[in-house]
Amino acid sequence: MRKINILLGMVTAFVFISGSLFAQEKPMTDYEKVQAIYNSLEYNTLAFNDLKQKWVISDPLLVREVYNRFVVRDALRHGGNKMTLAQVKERTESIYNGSVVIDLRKRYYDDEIEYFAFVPEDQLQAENPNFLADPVKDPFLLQDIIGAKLYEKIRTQGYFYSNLTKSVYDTKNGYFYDVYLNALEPHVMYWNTTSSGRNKYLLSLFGKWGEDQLTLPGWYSGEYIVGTALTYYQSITSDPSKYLYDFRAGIAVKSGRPFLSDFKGRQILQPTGQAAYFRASGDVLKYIISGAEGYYLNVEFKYTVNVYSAKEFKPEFQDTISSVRNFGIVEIRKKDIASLGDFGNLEVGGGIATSDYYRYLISPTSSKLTDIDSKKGFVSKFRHNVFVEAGLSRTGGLIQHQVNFQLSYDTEGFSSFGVMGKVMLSDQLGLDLRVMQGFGLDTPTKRWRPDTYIVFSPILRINY
Amino acid sequence: MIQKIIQMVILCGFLLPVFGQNLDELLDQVDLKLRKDKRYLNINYVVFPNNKIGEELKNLPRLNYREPISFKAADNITYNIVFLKEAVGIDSLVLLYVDQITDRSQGDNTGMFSATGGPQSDTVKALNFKDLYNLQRVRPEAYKALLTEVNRFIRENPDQQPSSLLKILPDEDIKTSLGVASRDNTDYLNYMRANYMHWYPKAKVEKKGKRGAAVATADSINYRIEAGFSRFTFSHRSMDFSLGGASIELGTSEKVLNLVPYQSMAVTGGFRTLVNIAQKKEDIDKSFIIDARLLVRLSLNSESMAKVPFAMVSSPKLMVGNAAGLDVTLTRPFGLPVINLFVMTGSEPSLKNPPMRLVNKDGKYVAYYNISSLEGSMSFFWNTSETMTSRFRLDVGAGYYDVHEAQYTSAYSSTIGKSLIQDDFYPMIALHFNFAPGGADIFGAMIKTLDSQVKAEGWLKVMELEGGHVFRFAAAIVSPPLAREKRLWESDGGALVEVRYRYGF
Repeated sequence: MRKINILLGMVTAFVFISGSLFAQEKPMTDYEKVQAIYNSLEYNTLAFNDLKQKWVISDPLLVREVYNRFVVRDALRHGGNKMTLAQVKERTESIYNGSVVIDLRKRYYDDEIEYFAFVPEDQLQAENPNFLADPVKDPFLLQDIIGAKLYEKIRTQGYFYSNLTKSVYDTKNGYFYDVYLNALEPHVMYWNTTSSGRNKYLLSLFGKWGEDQLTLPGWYSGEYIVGTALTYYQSITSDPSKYLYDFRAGIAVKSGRPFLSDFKGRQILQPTGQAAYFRASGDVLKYIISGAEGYYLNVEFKYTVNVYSAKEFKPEFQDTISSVRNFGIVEIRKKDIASLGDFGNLEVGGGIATSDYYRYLISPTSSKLTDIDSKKGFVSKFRHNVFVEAGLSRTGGLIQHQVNFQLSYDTEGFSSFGVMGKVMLSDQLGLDLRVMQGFGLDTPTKRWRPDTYIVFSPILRINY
Repeated sequence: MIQKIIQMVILCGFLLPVFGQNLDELLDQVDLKLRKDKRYLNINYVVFPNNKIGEELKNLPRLNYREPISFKAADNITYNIVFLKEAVGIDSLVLLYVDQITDRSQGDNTGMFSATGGPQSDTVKALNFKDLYNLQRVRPEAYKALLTEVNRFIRENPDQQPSSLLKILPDEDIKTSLGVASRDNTDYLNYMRANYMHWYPKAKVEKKGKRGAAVATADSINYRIEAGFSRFTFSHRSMDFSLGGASIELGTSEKVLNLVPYQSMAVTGGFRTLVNIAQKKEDIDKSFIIDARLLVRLSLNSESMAKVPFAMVSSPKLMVGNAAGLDVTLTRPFGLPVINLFVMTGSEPSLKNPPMRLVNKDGKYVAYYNISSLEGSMSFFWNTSETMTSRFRLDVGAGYYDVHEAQYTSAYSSTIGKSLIQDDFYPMIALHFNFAPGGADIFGAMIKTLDSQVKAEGWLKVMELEGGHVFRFAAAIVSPPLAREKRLWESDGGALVEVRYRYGF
């Protein structure tokens, strides 16, 4: 008897356990089975639903006309069931109020209407809207209900309507070539290779006009740095700023400046000798400090090796020219600290910089540049500054942007606040705008450094 | 009495819907869709073999007061069983309807109204979806017979898709959103064939012979010519060679200087050779191409040259000297982009009695001339879609040109001094666009900036006569300097319009 009880207990337990372990989905009703077949007849374009042509009819008279066809044909349904007269009357009140719109969507590969729904205006953006009646998802059923002529009118959109079709603005970083035309910092990636099938080595030509960290943005400098860059991506990514390391080497050349009239009465910084430029940047701190991933270390410097002769400047009268011959910058920047949604990802940075300042006398009668401050030693011509930056950057989507706010303070009391912003549409066309405001300028500095800097450049990027 | 009750029940049974009201309506909607939607239905059919028609397919009931139907085993009648093979949420094959197709060209065609010019077959819906749905319940053996035949076809033909009723063509309408850039010479060749003044070979199109054998078409064009008001090029078949071909040219344009054709007061003649280094000459899409022009510029120094009626230019202020030049294009050497190199250098022009006489800011009598010019660039190509209707090319590089000043006495009979007053490099960017719907070149445009001046060129296909004679309307515009002051030797820009004839391209 006891054995029987145990056996019964085991059977009961098995039934309970197996019931929960092997629970079947509720079997479909005949209606649901046929509905599934109905829904499966068309070529499935589910993946394109968000790209299909979508619009809303809000013309109250047209909405009434269409709604009335549904009433006449007794085609209003709620939960698959016919509506009662009371239900129809209740819903018609919304039509009288003009608060109902028709939400429509076309098929992807042809022009037929695959989705039609009466929706209260305030429910249009709801995730699960309270429809006035069940949506019609078959163009031929809709045509059957409202008639071929009215269907054709709706389909061809010959009336007032609001277009809600989504446009695709995909941006992906390509590695075949990358032409980034920005007068302030252009680059042309012209060669690439891979060593593991996942990584990328890129060779580029680059240009650089001005130094933000020295509060010397482009236009205000008479020299342009051009050179070549090697960039390494550990694995290919859609975000071009996520390289592992980037080495740059270049030289400084004289540059022209647009809108010369803006600079009247102020000296432009000139290159006064052949200069070499180097920059190394990378997400390399993680190899030194555990957990320091995403901390980019940037080190860059320029060194001028000789002094030009006076004839390089073709002086017509005696004058003074200014020059920043050497500088060095060390910066640490942490990217992707936090995501602020559509505003982008937060990043902060900071560092120290040092730069010298030379004044030379040039004269048509002398073949050499004369250093006005020759009594100062090499080191004493340097001034040092600290800077901090915080910014937001966003890649992908329709609009990409990068905005950085910068504060800088140097050892001689000069400080500056700057905003550097880049905005691009589809990662192809954009604008680079940099504004800096200086404070605490002393009289000699004012000869070559203005209070306010405004520089900009259009951007064109072609990347495949 | 009982018999009457039974009769009443049967009668009521016929009058009531066979299925619940909602289901009945849904079945009608499925049938409506199957009848009306001619393009989007992702459904298939197989032909039911005549020799498989058995007793179970006789006297099949149909709904909506339609007479029962029996499948007929006749030579001129076929039955297409239409079914839904696979879909999300559908775990087994579903029969949708059966079409009966009668071939009227066979069988009974002797009557007075026998078809002669109209359709040769009649298609009627033997069983619709509602009938089949009902058949599954009331005559399962008939439904099973149809289903078995479909399953047999699929089982016995694993590599053959059943005939489809889908009329949209997703395979031919695949869209991409990021555009394309070819990894071989395709984009380069498309551009050069549409815009370049010299001929580029095309891949030979093989035509099928009478018995399907491939027959290579013989190139029937013996010469190629482009002729316009500002340039002329010519090549003959006899100038083709195993690795490419050659051609000659004569023109009035300056590649680097910001001058409208004729404004340089010089003519340039050239010999062009195209070398296609590939294992097979036909593989030009993948080969390494060297396109080189040897140029000779002859200075005419006559202001009247710039006064041709189709050139709207101010008086030229910059002379050019006699010079020789080389213009080379290399396609993707060592995986690099397309490389373009141009150099032109020579001697100073005749400075005695220059056609333009200027006074510089120091009040001296002067004239200006150019001797050398250089340009180097890399070309990048892309298309906005895989149809290659909108084609782009971007040239990025640098250009150089020198300007010399000759100083004179007031009589301009002899120089009293010369100096090099400009010898700088400038960044150069040129953006090209071609519109070629369906591969037919309709329009081309180019905008280039060098040394703060803009040079724009464009052409529009006007007509194409039988035999490949193409006429284009073309224009070139040079702007005055932008964002800087105009130099003494620079003009205010100008424009040239012309008609170009092309044959053999």
